[in-house]
Amino acid sequence: MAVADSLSLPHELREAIFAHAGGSAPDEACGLIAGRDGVATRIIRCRNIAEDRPRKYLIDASDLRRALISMDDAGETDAQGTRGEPLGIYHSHVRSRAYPSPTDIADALRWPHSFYVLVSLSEEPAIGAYRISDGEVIPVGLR
Amino acid sequence: MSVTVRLPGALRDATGGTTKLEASGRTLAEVIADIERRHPGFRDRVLDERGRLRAYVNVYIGDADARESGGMNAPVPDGSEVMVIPAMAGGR
Amino acid sequence: MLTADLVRERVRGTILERIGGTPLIPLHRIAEGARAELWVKLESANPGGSVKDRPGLWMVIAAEEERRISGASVVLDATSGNTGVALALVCAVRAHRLLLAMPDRVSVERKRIARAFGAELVLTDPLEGTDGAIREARRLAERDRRYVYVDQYSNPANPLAHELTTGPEIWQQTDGHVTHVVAGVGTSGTVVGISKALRKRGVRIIAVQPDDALHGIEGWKHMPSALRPAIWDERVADVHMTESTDEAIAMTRRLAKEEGIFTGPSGGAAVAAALRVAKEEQGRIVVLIADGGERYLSTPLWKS
Repeated sequence: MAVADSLSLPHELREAIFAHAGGSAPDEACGLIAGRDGVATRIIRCRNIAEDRPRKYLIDASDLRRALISMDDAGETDAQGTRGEPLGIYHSHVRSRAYPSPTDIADALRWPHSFYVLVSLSEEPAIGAYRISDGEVIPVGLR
Repeated sequence: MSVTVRLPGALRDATGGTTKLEASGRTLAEVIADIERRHPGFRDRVLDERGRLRAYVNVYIGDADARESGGMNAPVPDGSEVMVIPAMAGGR
Repeated sequence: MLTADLVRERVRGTILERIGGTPLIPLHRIAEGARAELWVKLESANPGGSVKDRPGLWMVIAAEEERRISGASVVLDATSGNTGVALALVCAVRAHRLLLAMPDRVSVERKRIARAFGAELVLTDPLEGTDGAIREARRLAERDRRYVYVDQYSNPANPLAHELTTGPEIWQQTDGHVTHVVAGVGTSGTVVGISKALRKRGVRIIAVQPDDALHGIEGWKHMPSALRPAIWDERVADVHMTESTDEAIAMTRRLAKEEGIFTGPSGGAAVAAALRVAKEEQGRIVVLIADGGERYLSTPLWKS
């Protein structure tokens, strides 16, 4: 099983993530990144249904389910090459930097095989990609 | 009543690496019990000590959220697909 | 491979330069009570009067680039009308002869406009619809090598035009805030092309078809009962909807009376479907309105 240690995220997908983030402000935007072999080929916007959306995100479960099925149908894989799992999960930080917060780190235990892509609407660098494994944040290359 | 259960990658270790398995049961509780019989420890990953779905675990029976069709007593029609989807969340 | 820059370069200084770059207009009264914003992309603003100006131009330029058109050539296609007008416009400017196979039931305006641009028409059995015209075009193309059959139903330049112009325009005009695009399926070029441009950016693609084989939504195809275009692939759309002729006509009339948007039945059908989505989902929905109401003045649509 191939393990991708860097994420290829084409310019137009980054632009789309920023557009989603900008358009969702002051709420956090969230969504999925689908692809294969560490190369992202599309993003899937999801609804943020958290109570405190300017500071938290919770992806609508039916959006998530639909996205997972679509990834399975398309043969898309996560960072470990498993079919039907997200290559990446993205969300925006409106006022803080593009680095996983303690909340992000804790919640990532449930989806350990995806890249975590964060964008910041207020600080540079505006985008970062990470693997979050067992409470540890590992920055990864973003190509 | 035979159903297909799809599990996320995060639960792979609880079922010896399988993310798609067949199970039997007429309700969600029975399906989970059936999987527990074959993979001890699975139950605790999705249910709390009172036997209810953990807050951060979503279960879909077909395209309906199990919590909206009876929770643990939700009927699981023969041939349907049960999908376990952990919550995907975070914050700043 | 054609690019938007190359095509623009080829038509600089002619009316064909005005193809594309169509306006995006928000709906107000019709969108009242909806959860999402509803915007229409007004393809009737193209110089040939319809969205088909785009694939019409790209198919002809592609044939020229591939050196398929010589002095003796006659460009040929089967069309329910709008593509015929588009090809006629393009061929007039590019100085090519053009023959169009068209079902006889197509509105008189379309036939007259095509002829005004210098096209010749072969009218096929109205009962066989567009499929009858397609069969006739294939027959002619097989028989005589002078015909350059551009075949909008199979020509990759058709969806390519939408992938490289219509889709990117929608993205730029909404600053990337478009969340859904709703378009009808005829040749399917629009849906396929827009999907290629926008689906990967997270935009939900909604394809709409008529709800019946015997429908009055001119330009659209009821796929289950029709000859399937080679360029069509259901998987390009996230959602498939259908619309009835009655709903289409009702909405077409509302668009004129309540928004000042004068379109044909396919425009009404697309907006009717989009409104149903707008009531359920949030975001910014862009609907393709393919042509203007003038082409239907002789039909029952506008007889009050």
